[in-house]
Parts: sequence; C-alpha cells; structure tokens
Amino acid sequence: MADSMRDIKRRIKSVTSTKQITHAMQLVASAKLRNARMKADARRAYTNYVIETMHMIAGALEREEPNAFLKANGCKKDLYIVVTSDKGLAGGFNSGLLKFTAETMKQSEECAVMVSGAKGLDYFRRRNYEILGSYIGESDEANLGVANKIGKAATTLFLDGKVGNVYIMYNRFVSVISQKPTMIKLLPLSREEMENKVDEIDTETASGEYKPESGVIDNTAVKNMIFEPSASYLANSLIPAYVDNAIYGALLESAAGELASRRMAMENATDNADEIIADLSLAYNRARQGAITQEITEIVSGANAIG
Amino acid sequence: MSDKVINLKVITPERVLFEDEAKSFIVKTKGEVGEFAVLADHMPMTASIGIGYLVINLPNGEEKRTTLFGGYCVVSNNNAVIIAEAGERPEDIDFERAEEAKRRAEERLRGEAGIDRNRAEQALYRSIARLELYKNK
Repeated sequence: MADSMRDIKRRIKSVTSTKQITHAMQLVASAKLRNARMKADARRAYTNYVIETMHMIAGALEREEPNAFLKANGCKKDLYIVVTSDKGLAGGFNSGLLKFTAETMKQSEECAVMVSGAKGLDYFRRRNYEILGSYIGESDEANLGVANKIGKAATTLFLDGKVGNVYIMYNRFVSVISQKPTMIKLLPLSREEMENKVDEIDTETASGEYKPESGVIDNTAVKNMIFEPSASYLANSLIPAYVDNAIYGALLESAAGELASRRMAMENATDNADEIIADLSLAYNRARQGAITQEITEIVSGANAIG
Repeated sequence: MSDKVINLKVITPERVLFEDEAKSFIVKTKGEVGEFAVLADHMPMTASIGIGYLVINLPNGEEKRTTLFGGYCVVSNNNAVIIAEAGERPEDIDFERAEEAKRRAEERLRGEAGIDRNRAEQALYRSIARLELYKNK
C-alpha cells in the first residue's frame, strides 16, 4: 500500500511540473500572439489588394506585353514554397499543412520545395524532396528581409526556366481557434486560373486556394485597361513586388497562426494536466484512507487477540 | 458637372488611409508618370505612382490630402484603389523632422563623392512632399 501511495505521489509531482511548463508556454504564446496578430491584421488589407489587383490586371497586361512573368515557361517542375513553424508543440499546425501540400503536389509532374521553418524542412528532407532553399529561425516573427530573399530566389528560378509554376502553401489565420492550410499561385501570374479554381472551394471553411474578396475591381473593365507609363514597366516593377508581398503576407499569417495554434495546444495540455492531477489526488486519498483503515483493523484485532 | 462619384480606397501596408466616395482625385507625384487627375467615368487604367502627394476632392466640396510614396493605382468603372508603399495623413507629419530631412538630403546632394545620389534624391522628394502637405493642412 505504501508503495502505491508513493507511486501516485511521484506521478502527481511529475504531472504538476509538466503543467507548469505547458502553462508557461501558453502564456508566452498568448503574449507573442497579440503582437503577431496585430501585425498580420494591419497588413492583411494591403496584401489582399495587392494580390487581387495583380490578378485582375494580369489579363490585360498579357495582351499588351508578352512578359516572361505572365506566361508558362514550359518547365515541368513546380516550386512549392512551404511556410511551416520552427518549433513543434503547436497541435496540428504543421501536419495539417504538410498533408495538404503533399496532396496538392500530386497534380505536379515534378516538384521541388523551398521551406521556411525547421519542421517543414525535416519533413521534406526525410522524404527526399528536392529542396531549393530553406529559411530557419524566424517562424514566429515574420521578417520582411526573409520574404524578399525567398521572393527573389523564387522569381529568379522562374525566370531562368528552372521551375514552371510557383505556389506558396501556408496556414491562413482565420481566427485564434482556426488556421486553414491555403495555397496561392504566385507565378506565372494569370487571371483565368485564379477564377476557375476558386469557384470550387469555399474559402472560409475548406483548405484550398485563396482569393481575397473585396470585389472592388470590375472584371469587365480589364478589357480596355490603359497602362502608365507602359505595360512592360508595370509588369517588371509590380510583379516581383507582388511576389514579395504575397510571401510576406503568408509569413505574417503563418506566424500568427503558429502562436494561436500553440496557445490552443498548450491550453488543452494544461487543462488535461489539471484533470489528471484531480484523478490522481482522488486515487491518492483513497489509498491513504485504505491504509489507515487497514492499520486500525490490524491494531484492533491485535488488541483483541491479547485481551 | 455630373454628380457621379468614384469609390476610392487608399491602402498602405500599415493601414487603410482613405475609403470613401470622391468626386475626383489628383496624384501629384514625381516618378515615371507625372501628375494626373482622375474624374468619374475615367478609362480603366493602371498607373505607377512616384513620390509626392494625393489630393482627394470629396463630393461635399471638401478636400483631403495624403502623402504617397511609391506604389500603383488601379482605376476601373468608378472604382479606384491606390496601393501605396507608404503614405500618411497631414496630422501624422512631423514638421521639424521633415525639414531636417530636407536639409540633410540637400546637403548630401551638394556634396560630391561617395553618396547614393538616388537615395538622397528620394529622401528629398519625400521631405518636400511632407512639407507641402503640412503647409496646406
């Protein structure tokens, strides 16, 4: 009896210290989340408008100017930029995105990846994917410099004809309890594909390709669009900036999502620890009561035997 | 003049600077494209924006101004979006800091060797835009 009591006590102690850790992590994630969320929220309108306007004028630009950014270059290898987290303990944050990515990759004949976050890098390395770049160490704090680096590398690969399509895969921050694996096609910039795919997917509830909806730009207007100073100037200056902005937006969303997901996971872990501690305390008290009762019985029966 | 209006949005990475109906707006910037004004029923257009400021004429006759530092503007069927790399309202401008920046940029442009001329010029244009906007507040 004394043994099992000591066992239970030891377990209570270990669960309590685990709980302290998960609780501390929950608080840290909450504090960081507030900041990350503010940054993501502030930038969201801008990113959405950049993506939307670029896709809308892509059709018109294409007619005016046979620009390299706007047409397929014939390469069969697709580049996936995958934004994951550096650290785990964030629930299904990475696994959900990686599963969605693996599923999406089936439509490519060949694929290569560029990864942000150690978790994603581990995953693709273990599965022997071709890794064209990796960015580690900043996943919970989006960094414009990193976004520009990824953007430049991806744009160069595309213009050199080493990759045919460029997609970015990331967790979109819908709310603190919901992050959705999302895909955006970055290059070549084309209007039609964006429209066709979006119809099939309910962007609010399902994982899938994302199209910001502000509806400010009228499709029919694109036909006669004029460009100042020229279509080629705009294509060459705006498209690389659009790629960088979309990537930075994804990094921001992913950072906020990671922290929200971690906070959630740690909150659950803390709750579970409380539950286990309550159960163990009950078992401990029962065992203690049992031991006392047994001792009394033994004393009483001993006294009776003597008397 | 017709009473048609344009739905104008001015967006910067930090926030939405302006979102309302406007009678017309004038983009006064130094860049690849010079100054231009957009009235209701303008042709669909995408234009690059340099460094300078924006004047918005509201339907009630009032006028609003913001600075604009780079970006582009998309106009279609009386909807317009200005996507600026940066921009601010007159009340956000620090007059002394802008004057100081202007002086510094001018000094740097007068000096000869070893400066990034392009960068100094941009800084100068930015500070001039801020000062002009501040004075017309």
